[in-house]
Amino acid sequence: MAALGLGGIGFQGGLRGRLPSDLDWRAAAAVLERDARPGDAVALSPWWAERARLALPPGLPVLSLPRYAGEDLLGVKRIWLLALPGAPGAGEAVARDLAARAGGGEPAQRIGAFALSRWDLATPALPISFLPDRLAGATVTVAGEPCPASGPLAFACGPTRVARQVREVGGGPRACIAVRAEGSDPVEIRIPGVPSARLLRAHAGLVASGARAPGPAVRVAVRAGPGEEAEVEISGPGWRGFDVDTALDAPSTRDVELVVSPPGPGREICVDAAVLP
Amino acid sequence: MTALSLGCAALVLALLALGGGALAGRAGAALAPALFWLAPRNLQLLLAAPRDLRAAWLLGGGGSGPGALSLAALTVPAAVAAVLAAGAAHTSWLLARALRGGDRRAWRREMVLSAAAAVLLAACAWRGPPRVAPAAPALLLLSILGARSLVAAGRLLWPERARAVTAALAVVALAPGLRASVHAWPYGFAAWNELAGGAPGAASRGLARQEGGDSAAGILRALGEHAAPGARVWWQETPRADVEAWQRAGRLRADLGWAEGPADADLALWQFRAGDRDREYRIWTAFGTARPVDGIFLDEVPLLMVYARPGAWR
Repeated sequence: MAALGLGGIGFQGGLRGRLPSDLDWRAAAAVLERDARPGDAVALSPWWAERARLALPPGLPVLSLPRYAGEDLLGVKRIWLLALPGAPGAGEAVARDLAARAGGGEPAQRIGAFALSRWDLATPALPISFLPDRLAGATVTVAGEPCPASGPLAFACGPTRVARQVREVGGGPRACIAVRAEGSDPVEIRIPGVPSARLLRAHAGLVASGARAPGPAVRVAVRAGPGEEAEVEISGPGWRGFDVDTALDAPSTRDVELVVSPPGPGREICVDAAVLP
Repeated sequence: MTALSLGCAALVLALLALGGGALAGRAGAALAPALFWLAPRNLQLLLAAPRDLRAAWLLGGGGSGPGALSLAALTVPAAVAAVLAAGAAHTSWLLARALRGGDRRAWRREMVLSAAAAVLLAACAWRGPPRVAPAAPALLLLSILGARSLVAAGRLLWPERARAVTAALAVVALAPGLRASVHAWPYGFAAWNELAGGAPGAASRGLARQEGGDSAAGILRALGEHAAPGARVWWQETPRADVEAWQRAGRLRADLGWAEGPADADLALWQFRAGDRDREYRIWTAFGTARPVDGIFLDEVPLLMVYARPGAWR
């Protein structure tokens, strides 16, 4: 008991030294302000160190996922890993995930309680176009009836809502086209003038708040042209990626159609697609 | 402090003092309440009295998780947990000794205490929604037994100076809890013990950071200083009655309005809740930013973030 008591006091007394001070945060922000470039992002380890959203330069995206294996990291060329190696619960998982997909970088430098390293992604996914951002120009129909716009990036008709949002799917924030619909008629979203390239990479997943609710599997189809389509069925939590190979297509632009079966009451589905060179 | 929570706290205090006093005299009467209350979460309950008892011991939303006993083992200071375990072991030893010696009165007393402890511990070793509350009766009884074991240890280690030894043991056992309580105040409900790694270790394990939106009270001054005149605030977890009470008491600016959601808000508070970050991302969508303007942290673990539309935070 005495050992636990003294250990408890020691743990509490030592905790401050294991965590970053305000000065450490300012120093890390200054280094990133100086060295970060467009296409850079910051990953946090442990993921909960989200004071970074408050403290780091505003233009620098902050990623706070527990793991990065299997994440596409659209638009990111280099990742700065801001780690708190002394924090209780800190681990190497994030660093391992980034190391596995990096083709270079810079070793860690200590900034107070931080270890700041840089990982240059070996094969960054740099989209030519991100379809959720083009939703304003889309047409949305349900059973052949058009859904009117209900905002700059939103459509509504009856119980159906289609909007460009950030939602929690598969354990992280996903910028996507969120679809809420009931009944049996699929929701069709046609996005015109999408630039053509080698690949259309899509993702779909049920929004976390209703991902475990009972309901039918949700079918999501992405059609880029004749013979160029892919379809997945989504049930349960997760953020599932799938590709449409468009390498043989000739036109410089095309209409891309997303077809989503109704998730049903209490559930929403989140869909994105990016054109990759 | 509501009359209900004040009454509950006083009742618990009295039960602990009576139990400790009955088993171990005046020292026991003082030690049993101290063992129970000198923990961040429990002291917060006693001194701050949240809106209801729910916030004190509910540690997360729905779903299943570790049992109440496992969660309690991560919130009670480790040294106190050792004393509680020693109390249980000491009681078992006293029971065995009474059985061997034929002391019927002692035998009955220790049998009742052992049976009660066993039943209460078994009752809280359930798996269900992750919360500590079911372990509270067991913790109460173990605090009394632990106080008795501390007094007995003092007598055993140095009979001539038993009081001094007991006091020294009590200081070692209680100091971490007291220090942690002071450090975490007023966010004691977000505190976890050394075994959990404190708030940072608990956050890494995905354990809950708070319940009931109590951390909002910590942002009132910043809201008063920085919110634009007439700004509408989405308080998310904090009930409207609490916000209006703060305004009547002058703790919150009276011109700040109430918003039902991020869509009609100028400012939004996100109070971290495991498994429900979609609400925070709704704020990102509505405000067009993932960058907060202010926040509350316990050992670097975010408890609350403030988001603002352009111009709403000065």
